[in-house]
Amino acid sequence: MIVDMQAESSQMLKQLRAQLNESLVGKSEVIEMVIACIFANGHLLFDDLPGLGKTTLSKALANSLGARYARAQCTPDLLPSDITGFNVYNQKTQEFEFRKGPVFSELLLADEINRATPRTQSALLEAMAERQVTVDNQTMPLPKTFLVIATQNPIESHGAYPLPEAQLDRFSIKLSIGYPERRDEIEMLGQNIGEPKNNQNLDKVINLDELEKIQAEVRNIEVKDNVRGYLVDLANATRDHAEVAVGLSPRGLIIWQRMAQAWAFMQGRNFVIPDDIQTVANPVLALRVPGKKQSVDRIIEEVIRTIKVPGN
Amino acid sequence: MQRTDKRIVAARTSATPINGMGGGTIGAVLMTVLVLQIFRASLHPNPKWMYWELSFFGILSIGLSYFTRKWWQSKCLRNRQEVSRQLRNYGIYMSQAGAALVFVLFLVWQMIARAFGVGDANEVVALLALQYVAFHLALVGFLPGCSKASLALAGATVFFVCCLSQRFDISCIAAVFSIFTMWCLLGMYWSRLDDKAIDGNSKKLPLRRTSIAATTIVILLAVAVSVWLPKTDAARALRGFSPFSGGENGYEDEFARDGIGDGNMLTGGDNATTTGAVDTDQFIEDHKPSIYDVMSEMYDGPVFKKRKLNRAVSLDAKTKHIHDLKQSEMAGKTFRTMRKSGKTSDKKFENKTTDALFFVAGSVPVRFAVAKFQHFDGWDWTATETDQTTPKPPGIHPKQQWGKPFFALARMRTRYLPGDRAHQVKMMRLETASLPTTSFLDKWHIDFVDNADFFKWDQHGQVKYDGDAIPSQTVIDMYSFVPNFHTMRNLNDLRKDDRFSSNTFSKPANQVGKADSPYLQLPLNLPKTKIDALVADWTASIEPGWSQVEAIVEGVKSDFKPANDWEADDEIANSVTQFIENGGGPSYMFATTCAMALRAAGYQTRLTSGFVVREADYDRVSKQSVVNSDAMHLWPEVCLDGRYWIPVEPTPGYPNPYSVSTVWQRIAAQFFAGIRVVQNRPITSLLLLALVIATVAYRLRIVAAGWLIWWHLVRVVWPAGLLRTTRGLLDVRFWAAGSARPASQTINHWYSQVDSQLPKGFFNLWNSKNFLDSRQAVSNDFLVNICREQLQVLTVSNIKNHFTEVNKGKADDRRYAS
Repeated sequence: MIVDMQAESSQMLKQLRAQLNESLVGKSEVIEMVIACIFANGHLLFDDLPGLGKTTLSKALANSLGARYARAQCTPDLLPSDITGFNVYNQKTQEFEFRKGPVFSELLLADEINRATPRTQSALLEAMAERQVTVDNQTMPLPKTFLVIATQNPIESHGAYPLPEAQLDRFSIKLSIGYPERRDEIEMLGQNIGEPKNNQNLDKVINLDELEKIQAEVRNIEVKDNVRGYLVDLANATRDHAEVAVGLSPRGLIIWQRMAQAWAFMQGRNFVIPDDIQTVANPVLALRVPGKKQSVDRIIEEVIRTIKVPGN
Repeated sequence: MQRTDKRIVAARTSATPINGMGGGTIGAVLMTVLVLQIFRASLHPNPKWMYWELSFFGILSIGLSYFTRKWWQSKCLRNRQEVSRQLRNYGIYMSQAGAALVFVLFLVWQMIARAFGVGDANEVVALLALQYVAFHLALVGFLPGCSKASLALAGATVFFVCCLSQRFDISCIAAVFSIFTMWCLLGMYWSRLDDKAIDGNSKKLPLRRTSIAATTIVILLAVAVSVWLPKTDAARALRGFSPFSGGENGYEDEFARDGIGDGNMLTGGDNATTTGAVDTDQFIEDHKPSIYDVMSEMYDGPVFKKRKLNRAVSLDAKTKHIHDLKQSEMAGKTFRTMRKSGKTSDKKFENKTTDALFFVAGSVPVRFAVAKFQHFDGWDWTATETDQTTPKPPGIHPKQQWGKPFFALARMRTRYLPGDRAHQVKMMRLETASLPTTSFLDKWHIDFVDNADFFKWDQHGQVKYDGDAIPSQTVIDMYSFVPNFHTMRNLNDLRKDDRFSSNTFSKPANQVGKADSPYLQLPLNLPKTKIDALVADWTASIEPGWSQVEAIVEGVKSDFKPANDWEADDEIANSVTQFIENGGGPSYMFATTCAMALRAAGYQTRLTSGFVVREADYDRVSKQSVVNSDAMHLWPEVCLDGRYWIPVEPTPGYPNPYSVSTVWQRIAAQFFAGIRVVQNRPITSLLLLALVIATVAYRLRIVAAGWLIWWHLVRVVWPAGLLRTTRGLLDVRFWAAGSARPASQTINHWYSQVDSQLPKGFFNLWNSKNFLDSRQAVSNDFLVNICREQLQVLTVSNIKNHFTEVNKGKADDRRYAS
């Protein structure tokens, strides 16, 4: 049955797609997955080479959502307090004042996160998982729609600190943008002749209240027993796979289901089908299956191929 | 030329239209059940018992498999996923336990059945046990290794049934089973390959033409062997290894119902005992009829012209008493009042009677001759006493063999008599001095009888006991040669087989006898012109010799119909004319007419009366064949080489005289028979060939068309199942197009490859039916339209064209890259 998605939501989704597609030419599949991740209230990790539009897309997304945007350029000397904020002694008031870090935004872009030290990376754990920050025994909540978009460069390994599994598991999906097609690059070059485009001028198409409402709708998308069983079978297959040391965690399984719900919502359905699960499988599992991209893709293919889809 | 051009790319699909082989294995085992039950039904005394047994064990296995499946699902939650080694072992133990339970219960069942007298022979019990175990394993095919084990057991069962049975329907089903099983095994093999490959990758098996040709030849040969070749010999050979034939050395199974061994255990009747009846009733007949007339109740007595009789002939009481006494003395059954001392048996005396003329142990069918006739006057056959009994009977010489006295006939074995067989005859009510002799008799033995004067030839060519009648309960061991009809056909003129003679045979094979031989005489009132015309028709373009004899026999057999309502017509000059004009008659007229036709063709022929013992005459209780008056029969015997009288059988419904043949002879015979069929029916053969080629060429589309018919049936009868049937039909179409949908692929994804703009109605309905709890009801018309819409787009041609284009594009890419 096709869900009667509210016309308002449908319109917003359409505008969001259009706007993001305009910012990042020729990457509609990536944009679809980014939108699904936002609707699933998840965090996003871009794993790709420099200059492929990661930051551009993040900024466009922040502007489209009308979100407070903050960026942290991660380097080895970046301290946790540079992310979370710190207390400063105010000589006038004779009191310590808390200066919020970039984490107190609605969309945080952690650029080249693998260049930050593990200590600094860990500063994001609580923020991402529980959407709150604790500094000096003081816990401060973050917005419900708080979203982290992190980027990392898979090539450069000198002075880089690979994200630990615990940190990776906080992200919902990992995406690679990849090089654009030839015709898209030609179009992109055309767009950059003359006055360069400014993402700051993008219209806000969804406000955060609306986003929160959509996220609530996504959580209520139906997942029938046989589909849940299929999901569990897939998770078990990752655990049983000979080349996978640690399979999918229960948290990862929940994230997978949430991503499938978001995808079903975007397709205008109020229930999840196995296609949804298979579609979002790669970005969800790419985070949780270690290895090079080619071998990870192969393992994911094998995992999906091993399990019979329900309803056959 | 590129390397790829030399290859044929196999269908890029699995061997089976639907993923998973459980159904295939169960189908194969059901065919096994059918084959075995057909075989068993022909032997079982109470088919109802069979049905009860089948029902009980079918329900038992289904119930066991249900609980096993529940257990297995609870253990691993999924069917297809690889399971741990420990769980796998548990699954194997579970399947073995179930199979063992079925096996033991079946044996118990058989013991109970035997107690009620409705059991099966040992080899059938073994095959049934295999069948039920195979059935159980097929039902639990989801457990590791069960499907393969089930197929192996089913294959073994079908193979042994084919060896034991000569039925054509069983052979045909077995051939279908072979092909089906091969398909299933291919499917399993493909599934294993499929599991190792990643979806979306090209799945092609590079096959060379020679491999395909070799495989095809092997399969065809296997089918030919299973259908034609091994029946008789294999059955006979296997009997020697199985304790079921009721006559071999060692164990004899009282429930054996087929076959009575090959006679190799008959090495003389030492200390023969009897339980048979002693019958001393005299038989008084003033017309001196033949033994056929006495015994046969089928056609009533002979018809004689009415003669004027002044008085009836009868015996008074005194004369009858004297006659009885005389008969009793002749049979050596005088009664003495002095008796041996000793303990008497506690067993009560029982009156045991039998209607049997004699009992026979040894392989059947077999025929025993008791009288020969040479002269036919148009109505009556008579055994005239003549000196011209050519060929001259061989001498009877007593000799010792295996420490026992034998009577042997002094004649050499010819090339066309390669086989041997033995029989044991126990005389009962057959009161005759003629020794019931098998064809091509070589020697015989009666315990303690070694007097050369005991047996002699009568002037009609029959061995006779030198007395009034062979005493009842006499046991006679007979050894005879067995002809090879194929060799006789090859030799044709059997005189050429005389290795000790360098005769150049001035006369053709059909004029071997003297012109005045009594075996060539025809009655003057016989319609010779008609018979000559028939013979000329039957033997046209056939060389004189055995082939002509066979042609005449076949001609009589095929051109005339059996009829029991036969009344002699006095207005017709002779019975042969009446038979020919009526187009048929009773069995003895077939023999008479055939004999006349053979004589007209120039072959020395005589009429033989005796008994034809068939498999139906075998009695499992006494473990021997019971020969009574129903077995009476007449048949002609023809002599081609001046030495042996060869029996022929022109009467429809009677078994042909026993013969042996080599494997190669049977292969050649089947081959030439096939060629003859093609020659005789060229148009039919061509149409059949075209049909076979078309079926092979369009086999996939035929399967798809069959599914479409099924779809229409479901649409009319059970529309609620239409959605699933449509999905099944579409899967079959993809399979037929060479792109079967893997089990891990959703229909949305797989079908949309062909056309991304496919109507979504079908997918929406399918998804809501399978993955939504609260689905809306749809009308049947709407459902039918949605399904039909999808079927119209996803035709086999469209699917095939799409994937051809895709593969072509990939090939171009590879070529470009290289």
